Amino acid sequence: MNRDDQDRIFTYLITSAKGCVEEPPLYGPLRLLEAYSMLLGMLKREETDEFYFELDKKIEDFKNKCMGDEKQFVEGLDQALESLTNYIINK
Amino acid sequence: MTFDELIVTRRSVRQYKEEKVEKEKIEALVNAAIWAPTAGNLQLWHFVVVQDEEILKNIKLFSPGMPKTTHCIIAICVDLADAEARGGAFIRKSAPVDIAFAAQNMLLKAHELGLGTCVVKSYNEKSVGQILKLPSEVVALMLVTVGYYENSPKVPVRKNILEVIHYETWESEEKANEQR
Repeated sequence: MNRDDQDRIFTYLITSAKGCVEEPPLYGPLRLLEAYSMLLGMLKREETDEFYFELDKKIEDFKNKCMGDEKQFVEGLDQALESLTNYIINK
Repeated sequence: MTFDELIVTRRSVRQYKEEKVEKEKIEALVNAAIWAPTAGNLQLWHFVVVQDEEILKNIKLFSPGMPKTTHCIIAICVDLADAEARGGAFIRKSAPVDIAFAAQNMLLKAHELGLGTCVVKSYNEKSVGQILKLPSEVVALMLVTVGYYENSPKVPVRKNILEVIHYETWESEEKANEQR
């Protein structure tokens, strides 16, 4: 993680923490998912498992649903978590 | 494009091309904004246009809701001290409304000009104020991203007007009949 990456993730996390005090509740999970994508983007492909990049694509598909379709957003989260659990159990 | 088409086809764009927005188009947006309704004709708004990549980078750091591909931001700002001096305490409530009217004019004008926009409220006001070197009494109440784009976002779901319209009172006869 270079210095620019550090600036990005640290400011994102702290600014989001303050924002979550007043923002809509579903923005909290959204920020965590964004942080996941951001951290993943800071890794080189060979530094982690391909699964995490695939998971990121799935997350990208439902992430913005939190602004209009809470049900689909939560379903997407459940599916992502189920997929992650299966991956951890079977690796 | 008719006025109705303009309203119905406008979208919040979160994916922009790198192409720079021309100064005359930016000024057309601001010109549309300043014709918005404003309480007491106070016209409290100021517009800080940012296209410098270094400043944009810093604003993005403190704006979790900002589209990553943003290359142009218009910060709509209000001098709260001046606002209160001219409009009294009431103005603290009305200023955000005025800003929203101005922003909507900008969004529609941008759409007419083939530009995409997105209103961003998820940012830290103090940090953005520092980055933009705003005087201590001036606050950026809204950020609007502007830019060229390739693909229009999907059409969002909107409620049917029958779900939101009320005649005369909240519990109009039609609503009461619906609930029976």
